[in-house]
Amino acid sequence: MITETNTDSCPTCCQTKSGLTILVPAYNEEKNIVDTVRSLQNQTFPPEEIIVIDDCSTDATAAAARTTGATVICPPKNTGSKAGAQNYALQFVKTKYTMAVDADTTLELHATEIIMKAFADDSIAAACGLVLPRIVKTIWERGRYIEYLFAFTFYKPIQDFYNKPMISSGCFSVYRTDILRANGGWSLRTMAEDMDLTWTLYHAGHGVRFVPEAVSYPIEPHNYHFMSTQLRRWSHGFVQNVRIHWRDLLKHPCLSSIIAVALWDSIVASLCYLIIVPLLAIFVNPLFLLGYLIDAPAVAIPVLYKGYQRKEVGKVLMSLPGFFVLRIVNSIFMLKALWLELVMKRPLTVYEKGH
Amino acid sequence: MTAGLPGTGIGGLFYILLCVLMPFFHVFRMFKGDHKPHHLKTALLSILIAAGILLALYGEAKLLVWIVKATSIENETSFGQSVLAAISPSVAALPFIILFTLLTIIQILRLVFHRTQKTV
Repeated sequence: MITETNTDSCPTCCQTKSGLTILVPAYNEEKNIVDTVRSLQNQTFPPEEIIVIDDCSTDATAAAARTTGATVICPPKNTGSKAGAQNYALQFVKTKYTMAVDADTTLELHATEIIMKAFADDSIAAACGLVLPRIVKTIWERGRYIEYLFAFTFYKPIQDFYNKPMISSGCFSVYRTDILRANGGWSLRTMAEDMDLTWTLYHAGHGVRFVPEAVSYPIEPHNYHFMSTQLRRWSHGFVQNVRIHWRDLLKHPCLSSIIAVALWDSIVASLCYLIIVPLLAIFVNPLFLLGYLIDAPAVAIPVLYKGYQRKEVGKVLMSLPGFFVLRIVNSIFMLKALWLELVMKRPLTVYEKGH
Repeated sequence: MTAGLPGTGIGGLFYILLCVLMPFFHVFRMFKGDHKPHHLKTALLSILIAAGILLALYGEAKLLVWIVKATSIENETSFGQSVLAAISPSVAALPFIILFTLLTIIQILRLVFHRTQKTV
């Protein structure tokens, strides 16, 4: 959805050479936006332009962003979602590549330089990097830290080996602008626009790369309120995307297998954690509660490897319990999303900001 | 387990099997002249991690059996019997059967819908 601008701050300076514009959708990000833009400006491969889309914030996001020298644009009214804000800004992009970075996400110094190398291959339309929480203090942040370490150390590199990363993460991804536009930008039809776009690119015959050396640090939900909002969006988004894309996905043997296994795993694991294990513990033997930890070694190996590599073994060990708590919460949201989307036919349609 | 989605069971097994297939894919790509430098590094690292996971799970199973036998609960409690049953070859084969069934269903669906789309 592209709407007309009501501002006098349309980007104009797009004629320099890096060929990269970074879009930063922001809603009430007064506290984070300066850090984010500074981290983008300090990259060893600096973008031609950084466009902050202030999506009608009620705080001083726009003013804070302007202090950094970034271009700030405001849609005529709140677009209602991150995808909407990014689409609004896409009309102003004049460079060959467009990067999307969340307003609460900072990048390592060489991240853009490293990730852009993926585009040496002409078949690649999108590339994403490693994502790790910037702040790891509460149980929710610790759980998410382990989830990311596991997924980005074990699952995603394997997906990349088979040329099918499941998602080009929305908080830090780069796209060829012409292909992004040709595929309609970020779709508003699901709650997980990054997954939707990734799968759409595959259907259109394009490639996606995961570049683990390019590291980004978003701020993850620090309490249950924000975590539940994000998990509701993610779980509904996953089910919505499977429902929309399943027929086209079957054309991709590896991708369809990856997604089928993820769907199966999330349903069965949810039922086990929420129903089977508690019932066994109550009616057969309380020791069955160990079932919640049975795969701890499988989780710990990749996570400890990455922790050791990053000199964060202590943080990993402190965070592992949080993972097992978050996994049970994930299960609740996943089963609820499946029930509402597929059985009750009540899809989630309102985008609620998680953080 | 993808962030936000629960589970490591069948998913973990699936990715370990993908690791096992990596060397064959790599050789296949080399013959096609389609290999990329990062593929080899990814394959080696993933295989090492998969081997570490299998070793850790094997160690966990051995430890559980040792505890169950040492505390003599295998004949006294349903939990002890369940632990010993869970690591018997017939039960351990169950996840493989489920995974292969799932992957077979996907391939059948693929054939059915591809054929449908071609004839439309």
